[in-house]
Amino acid sequence: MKLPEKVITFVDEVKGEVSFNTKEFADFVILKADGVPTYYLANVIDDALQQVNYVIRGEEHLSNTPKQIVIYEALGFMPPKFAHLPLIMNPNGKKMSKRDTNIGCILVYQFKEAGFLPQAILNFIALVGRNPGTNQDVFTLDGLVEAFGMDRVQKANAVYDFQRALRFNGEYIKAMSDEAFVDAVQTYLREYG
Amino acid sequence: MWKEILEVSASSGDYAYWLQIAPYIKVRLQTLAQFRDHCTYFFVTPSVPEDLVYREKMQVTKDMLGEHLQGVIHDLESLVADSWAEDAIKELIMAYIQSHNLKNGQILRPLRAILT
Repeated sequence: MKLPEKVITFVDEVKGEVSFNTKEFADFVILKADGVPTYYLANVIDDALQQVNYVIRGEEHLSNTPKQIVIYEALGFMPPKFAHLPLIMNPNGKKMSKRDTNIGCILVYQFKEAGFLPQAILNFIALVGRNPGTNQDVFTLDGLVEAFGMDRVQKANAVYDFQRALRFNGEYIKAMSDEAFVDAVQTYLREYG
Repeated sequence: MWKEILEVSASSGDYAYWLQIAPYIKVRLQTLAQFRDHCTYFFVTPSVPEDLVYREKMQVTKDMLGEHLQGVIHDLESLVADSWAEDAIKELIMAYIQSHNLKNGQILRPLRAILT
């Protein structure tokens, strides 16, 4: 697809106003020789036909956005709102991957095996890359929903802090009733021995 | 091991025992898995190497310690649940040692070995 020469500006819900000059990009392929569409085209058509009006995705897609806006406009579709979330980095400052096995639990089954409570995992994940805007950081599900807003998502990349997950879990365990605690421990030990 | 302990617990109906230890444990755990590390001794009698507990040179023999630990346990049982705190326990054990003309090491050292 040949890109028109222009500056494309859009308001990202996290990053604010973002501009790209199409001179920075080469013309790009939207349909391969075998007739299979590339990600740029397929993604736009899927989203447009499904009336997706809000795209929330990782920051690595930010530079795809101007190309997709050109496709939206060329096809006569209204581009959706975009929000590009910061990446989660491991403590060494590299983009986190599932091969990061030495930084604590990262996969759901690892959290379960280690004996994390679902609400503690939720609380932890909900605050990775997001600042609730208060000193409070232990939230109920309703509290998380209430405190959520795209304006609270931080622009800088987030660091995965497993110690924080442990702290949350400790807080949740401490707050359990004795009965709930005994039930949770016995269920855990029955499952994992 | 824990699956067996749970089976025994279920058949003997000692849910109350679990409830009794719960308040002391739940404030110390960051994960449920840590229950295994912190709480085995509530359910399994630990074995302690004898040379860590008995020492002839200090006149800490099986008979002597057997008698005095029974005495310490007897006194500890006089502490009501509300008073079961570090300072009160320490005070009680030290009082026992003094009243029986023992040296600290004759009771505290084997106690430490047994409890660790």
